[in-house]
Amino acid sequence: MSTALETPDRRTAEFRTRHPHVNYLNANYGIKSWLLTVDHKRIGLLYLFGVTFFFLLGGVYAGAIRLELMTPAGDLVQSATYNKLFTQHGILMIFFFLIPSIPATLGNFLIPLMIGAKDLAFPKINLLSWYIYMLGAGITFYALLTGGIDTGWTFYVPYSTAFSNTYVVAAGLGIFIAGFSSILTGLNFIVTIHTMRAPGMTWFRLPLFVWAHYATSLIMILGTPVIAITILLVALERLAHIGLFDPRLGGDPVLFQHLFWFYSHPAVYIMILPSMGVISEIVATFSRKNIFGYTFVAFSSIAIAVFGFLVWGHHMFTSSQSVYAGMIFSIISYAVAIPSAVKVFNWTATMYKGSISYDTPMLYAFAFIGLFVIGGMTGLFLAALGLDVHVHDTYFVVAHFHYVMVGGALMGYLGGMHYWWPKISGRMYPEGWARFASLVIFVGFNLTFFPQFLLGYMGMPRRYHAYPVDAPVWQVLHVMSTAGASVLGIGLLIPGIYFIWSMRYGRFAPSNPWPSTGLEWRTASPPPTENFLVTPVVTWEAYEFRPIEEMRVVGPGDAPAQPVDGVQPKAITET
Amino acid sequence: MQLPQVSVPFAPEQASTFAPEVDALYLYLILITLFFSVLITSLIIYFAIKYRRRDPDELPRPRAGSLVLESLWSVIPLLISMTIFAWGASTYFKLYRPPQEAMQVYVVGKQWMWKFQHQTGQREINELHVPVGARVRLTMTTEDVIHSLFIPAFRLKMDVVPGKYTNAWFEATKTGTFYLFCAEYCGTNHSGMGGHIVVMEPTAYQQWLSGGTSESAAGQGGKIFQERGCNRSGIPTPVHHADLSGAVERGANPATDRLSPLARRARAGRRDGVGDGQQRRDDHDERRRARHTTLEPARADATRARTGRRRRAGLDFAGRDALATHGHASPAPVVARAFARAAVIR
Repeated sequence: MSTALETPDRRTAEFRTRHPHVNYLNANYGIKSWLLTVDHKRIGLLYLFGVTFFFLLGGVYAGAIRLELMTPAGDLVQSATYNKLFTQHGILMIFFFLIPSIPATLGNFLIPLMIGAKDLAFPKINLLSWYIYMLGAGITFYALLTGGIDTGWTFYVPYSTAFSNTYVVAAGLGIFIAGFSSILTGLNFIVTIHTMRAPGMTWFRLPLFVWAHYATSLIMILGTPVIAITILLVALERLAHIGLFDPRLGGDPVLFQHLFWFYSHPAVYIMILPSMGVISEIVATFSRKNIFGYTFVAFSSIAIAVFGFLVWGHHMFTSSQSVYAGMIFSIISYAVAIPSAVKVFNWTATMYKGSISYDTPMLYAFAFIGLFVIGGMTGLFLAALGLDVHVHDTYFVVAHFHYVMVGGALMGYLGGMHYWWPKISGRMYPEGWARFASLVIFVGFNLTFFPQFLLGYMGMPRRYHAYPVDAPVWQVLHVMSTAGASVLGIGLLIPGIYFIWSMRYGRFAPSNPWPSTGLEWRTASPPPTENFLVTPVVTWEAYEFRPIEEMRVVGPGDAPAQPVDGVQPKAITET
Repeated sequence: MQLPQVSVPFAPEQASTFAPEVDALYLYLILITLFFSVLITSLIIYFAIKYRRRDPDELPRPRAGSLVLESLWSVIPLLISMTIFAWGASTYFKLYRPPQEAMQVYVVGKQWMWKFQHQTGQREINELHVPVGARVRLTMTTEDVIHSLFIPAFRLKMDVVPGKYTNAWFEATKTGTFYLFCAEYCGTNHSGMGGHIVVMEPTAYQQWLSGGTSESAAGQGGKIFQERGCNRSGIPTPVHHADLSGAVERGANPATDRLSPLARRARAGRRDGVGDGQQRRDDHDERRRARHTTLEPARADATRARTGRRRRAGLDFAGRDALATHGHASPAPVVARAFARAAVIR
């Protein structure tokens, strides 16, 4: 019926079925098609560019910090510069990398795919939230380039309001603005998960990645307004001396710490929960087993989100807050450790009698579990009141949160990037290089941060530009840490290189390369713009593995076994 | 509870009564951490090897969850963590509940130095001499931003917060010189805000109090210079980095000329006690504050009515009891003033 001269309409489902190579990446071209896109997958990639840029920049600051600390004397940079380095490292890594990293890239890309939706509930708001993120990040970036900020990422008053001569308000403004991006993303996810699940996709058939993002979104929309208000108050105090925090004006500096940690502690869970979601997916896929105790893992995410709001005071055990308040915060902190422990035990139990492969994402999952156990257990050290008095504000804390943030969140992010890279790009990355890089990263990471536990207990305070010369062990440990940081830095560059390489030269990825069970694997790699040509109907439980030959050929991307004439493979729909 | 004496590797010296207790708790946590990390890691390695994929098409049987297991691995960690909580809380309670009968030391933090004052009036900067085996209660505040007094060998840390007093106490168990740090980030020279705690035999301490031992004039003068040279703007000046060793003795450096009375006093080996030199120095402090701060009315007010207000504010001004028992006239003015200011601010 069609003639050779007729230009086919590329948007029709029929065309897509017959031309499976048309996908969200090549549906249209040009910078405008990216900057004005409302496709959640393209917006996910826009975020990927943003967070990668700020990650690299934050990494450069980290490198400079480590180089300075190789010698006890503050000889590489001046104190003022050093203070800017660690402040800016923290601000970039936390507000512009870790918080948006998994939710805004992988979450954005995958949630609609995983629940069988065409897009998020509010595609235009999704694009808006990227622009808000870039605007906020741009303002902070400008502040860092033109003057910098030296308050520490924690902005403690009255230093930040009355003493620092750096660009506190400008950097704060960027964070304030970027917060709205977080709120909108969270809102979008919650509405999407509630209203746009495919027929048959009940709450307890949702992938645990989606549960984790649901919990994360709750924190984003409930917590972020608090940091926004806090930053606003710091700016007002700095500019107009309104007298909330500075005791000379009748304020209370400890009030700021309460407000700040009310958001910033839950923010830790914004960073780690999505990563836990990624690990659940990876462990299930590469063990070919349903997650052991699915409902416990799902509800542990919600429990972490809820309890996470009640423990902020454990950052303030030495701050002069009431001894009794400290006890309450300590005991609730132990309560929040339990759901995390439950997840770890369940992942381990999932592997029991599984079929375990050592593909790169699984290596990252192994690394995540091991490092997260150390990161989480050292959290128990810090929640132990009498012990925290000694290790608070030392390198012990620095090591602890890097084990959680880098060993946990970043390992999950890298694992997820490898796991879903075939879906995102339609290409496979080089497996050998990827395994090698994961090993380098693991070794480099431990070499960097393990010595810092020892340093911290020995009394090395954090944010120190120089340290005593007459403590030779300190320098030995610092040099080890710096050496580890260079290994880690190289390790992190390798995936960057081969991901870019694979976009052009990588082997084409099938729809379901691992293979796995989620809906995202039942559409082409890369998926078409509308995700699914026919709305999928879910008739199976979460992580219900089927015989491999059945799972492998499932989508319109796999040409050889592709059924013709628009008939969908059995796995997708039960029409 | 009598705890076994433990020492852990990579720890500072145990020089206070808290140190063995904190180290024991630390060791307890290390053992728990080791147990769980070894358990999880070996399970993962064991499963990963035993159940490795032998056939690309193999499909293990799905397993249902187990309520018994879930309960076990929720409740057991909870119970263990409650023991940690109880231990940690009891240590914390001791750390932050100073005993009634203790030697009083006043501490004022400022960018970037620690000022200490003994009950008998002796003042020190970035160095604190204390006798071994005596309970020492620190009553602390700050002139500017938040700092945190950290003595690793004592396992002690407490923030000093503008606008209020904080308390801490310790009982040193070992003579020697131990690090003293500022642990709360406080601006440009944060890492320079430290010094030493010198724990002495009681007799040596008495001798020190009466001015028997003193550090070198150059060291003393350098500290005074550092104090005078500090500006509050946070901008580092070359003044901070000037090497003063010998400068005070020479008396040739124009920068030290304005310090000459102090330098003279330092050279004479006298400690910074209560006297007319004290008064001069306080006046100097006051003038400097007038130049550097914007809240003079409140300050002046504070200075005028400090004693009365302090009392009326009903604060637990630790000095009061101590003063009553020791019959001392008043804590030395600089520290008292800082305290009075804190009271008014409140």
